[in-house]
Amino acid sequence: MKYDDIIIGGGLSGLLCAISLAEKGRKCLIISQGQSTLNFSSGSLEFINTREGESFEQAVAQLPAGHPYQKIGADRLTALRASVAQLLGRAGIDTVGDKERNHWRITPFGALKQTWLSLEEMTHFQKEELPRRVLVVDITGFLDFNATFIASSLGKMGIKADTCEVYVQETERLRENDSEFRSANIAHVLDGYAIDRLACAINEKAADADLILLPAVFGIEKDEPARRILRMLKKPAAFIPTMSPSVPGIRLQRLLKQRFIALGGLFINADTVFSADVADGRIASVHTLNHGTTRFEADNFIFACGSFFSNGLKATKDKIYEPILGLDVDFEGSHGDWFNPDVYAEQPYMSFGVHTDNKLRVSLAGKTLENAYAVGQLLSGASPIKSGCTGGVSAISGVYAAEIILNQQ
Amino acid sequence: MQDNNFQDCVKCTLCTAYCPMAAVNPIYIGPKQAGPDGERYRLKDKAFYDYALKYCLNCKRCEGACPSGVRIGDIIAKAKLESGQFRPGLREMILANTDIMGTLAVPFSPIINPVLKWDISKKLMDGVLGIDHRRTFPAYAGQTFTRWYKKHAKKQQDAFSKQLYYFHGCYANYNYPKLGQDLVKLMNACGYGVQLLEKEKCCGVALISNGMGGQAKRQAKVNLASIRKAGTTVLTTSTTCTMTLRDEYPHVLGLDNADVRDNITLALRFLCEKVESGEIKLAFKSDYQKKVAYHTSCHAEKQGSWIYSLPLLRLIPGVQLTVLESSCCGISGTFGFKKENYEYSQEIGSKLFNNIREANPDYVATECETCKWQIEMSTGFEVINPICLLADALDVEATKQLNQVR
Ligand SMILES: Cc1cc2nc3c(=O)[nH]c(=O)nc-3n(C[C@H](O)[C@H](O)[C@H](O)COP(=O)(O)OP(=O)(O)OC[C@H]3O[C@@H](n4cnc5c(N)ncnc54)[C@H](O)[C@@H]3O)c2cc1C
Ligand code: SF4
Ligand code: SF4
Repeated sequence: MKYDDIIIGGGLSGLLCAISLAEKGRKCLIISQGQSTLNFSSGSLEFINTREGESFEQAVAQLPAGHPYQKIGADRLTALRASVAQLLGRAGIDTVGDKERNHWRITPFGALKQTWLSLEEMTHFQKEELPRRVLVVDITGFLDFNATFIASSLGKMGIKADTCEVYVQETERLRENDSEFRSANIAHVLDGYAIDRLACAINEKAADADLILLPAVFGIEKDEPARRILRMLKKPAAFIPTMSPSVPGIRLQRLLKQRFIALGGLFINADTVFSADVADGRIASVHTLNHGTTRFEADNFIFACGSFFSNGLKATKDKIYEPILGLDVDFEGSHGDWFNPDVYAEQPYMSFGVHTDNKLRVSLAGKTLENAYAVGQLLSGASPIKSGCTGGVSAISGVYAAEIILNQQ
Repeated sequence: MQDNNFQDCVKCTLCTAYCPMAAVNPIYIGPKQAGPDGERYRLKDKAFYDYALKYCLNCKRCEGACPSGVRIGDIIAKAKLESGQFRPGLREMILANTDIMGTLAVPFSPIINPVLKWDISKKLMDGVLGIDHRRTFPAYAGQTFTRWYKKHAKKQQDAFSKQLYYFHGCYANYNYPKLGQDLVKLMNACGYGVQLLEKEKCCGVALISNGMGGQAKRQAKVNLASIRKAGTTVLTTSTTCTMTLRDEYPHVLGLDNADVRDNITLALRFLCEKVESGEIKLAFKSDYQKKVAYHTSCHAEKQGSWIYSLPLLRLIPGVQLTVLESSCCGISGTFGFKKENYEYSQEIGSKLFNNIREANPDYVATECETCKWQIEMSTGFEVINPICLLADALDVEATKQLNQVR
């Protein structure tokens, strides 16, 4: 089977790359072996951490040379950030985020965290516009969101935070289940009148609040429940992510996939690319476990396979490797050197990844493959915790690789 | 053959978040707990979580969600067979033995079809058997596909220089022979003769889900022997039969099929690949105009086979195609026929039904026969297998010429 472009991995980077290509009429196939890390994400994308008064540009300038942003080039990043936001918008995903500076969001632990682009319904503030008095809402029995903890953290920052617990008949049924009472289970039952009753209960307690903070458990299969609760509440409200799975993340994943399919894209789920045929410095085709003898051929191949969690990278005691083709990987030392004993510190293994040139083209035994690109968390050189560049690297590199491919045509 | 890989689970719960049954039924513990987690406990006691396993639809959407490649659906299907707690009753025997029931029913179809529609028989089946009275039974055909084939098609097949085999499955044989006939029409127009296997038994999917593993295995062995004997491509028209023959035989029944797995393929995949490579050319009627909404059945999603259906449907000039968001229709073979499951079944399907109503197509196209029953009953829209759609739209004479068929 022949395509213009084959994208291996259907996470944020793969989908954004594929959508950019499909929007220009290219015939694209995504092959993905399972759901991506987008399903755990906060509903906000980080681009880079900045210090007080520092611009994105200044922060990027301090990154090491091998960082994906440096490869892409500081001058391209502003336009790429805008492209990402517009592309999400065309997929029906409304976001907020300033072109030049971070905003702040509230984490599941009640901390403030810098971020670049947030789903409109998630918390988002500039430092000077923090709310003065909030109401943090707990749902009875739901343990993956701790309103008291969040309120106390916010309190330490001078925000007056009250909590309230609301009881929902619909979610009570979930308690019959031996094991699962998670965000996704709740989101599946919160719809229609259940939401209206919930809103009434919250409204009664929200008289003093300027902002209501809710766990992000609304709207997993469709968008309406999230809109409905915000509409029914009498005070402004926003969502805080819960422990995983992430309901906003699942919705993002869904909407992006739908957008790609509506553009005529084809998507194989639950299948693994396990080998590729290389000839004359190019990839000719790839093979998957399910499709046996079928050769999937394309002009370009984009590796968007994620990092260790998604099996885009694998490790033995002495080496890190890319499992499909054994692409060149940037890493240093052996097992003992890869971890920092302080779990909150930057971990050396996080910056390991597939080696690319400035056009994000991968290489095999030192030789660049002319038609194969790597994007997203698979790339080497990012330092997600220290520089706070996680989702941004994935989104931006995905769109950038598509630009390179389109420019060649 | 791959081993049970429950230890690869990283406990992320995405499988449960994407499980259509867990979404509507709070009593169902979900794939993580029923699958990899349960498997740990079952090492000690085979009956662990047994009460919950009956809710699994075997849709395999959990496997599509898992970032770690855990074959959750297979683990559950196997646990169900091995627990020994599923004592199939009369109802299970009737629902699961699709081929025996079909053989008995087809000769009497003029009587049986109306009787199945009577309120009184529906009430009886509901009261005595526990088959929900709100269900519409698929009608039986007046003549089986195999009988038609022997009478009207067999002789002509040998004239073709290229030959293929066809595993028709129970549905094409007993309920909807037109599907098999359309396949023969299509393949013949492209220059391929279509042969039937020496012996074909029901693939066994309903036996597996109703706890009749022994019988499923016996039938599987007959099928595999015939497929081996065929020694060449065996086409299928049902995504579920295909998945059972290719994947459930090794993963659930423990039968090695590695030597023939790649020979078993959906006819749509075969066609799409041959059209792509230029070996087959298709010509369509210029006056065929239809608005079609494509529904990705669970097993088409699992096998990724819809990537072959869509390009073929897009070849038909008069087809205006929308792709519905992939979601479970809720019937899951025999599951939705059972009284205790009816409400869950309809609730699971409701999102799909709404999307179909919104698309308002002339046809819903899908490769799964049980989706067809469920969607037709629940929405009133007509459901068609893409093979039939291609055959209806095909300009037979022009296609023959393009493929140099005399
Ligand atoms: C728990 C968690 C929370 C996070 N939260 C945030 C957040 O809040 N904000 C933020 O900005 N970033 C966050 N991130 C970072 C996140 O990694 C990125 O935001 C981004 O979603 C990564 O996308 P990706 O496409 O690069 O990779 P992934 O999401 O890892 O996707 C890779 C895909 O490739 C598939 N794949 C791999 N190998 C193969 C193969 N051989 N064949 C076929 N398919 C294959 C995988 O199945 C997977 O679907 C989080 C990460 C994690 C793990
Ligand atoms: S096969 Fe389907 S119903 Fe069964 S556990 Fe998996 S997702 Fe749920
Ligand atoms: S999705 Fe896979 S890894 Fe996650 S809990 Fe389910 S089986 Fe385990």
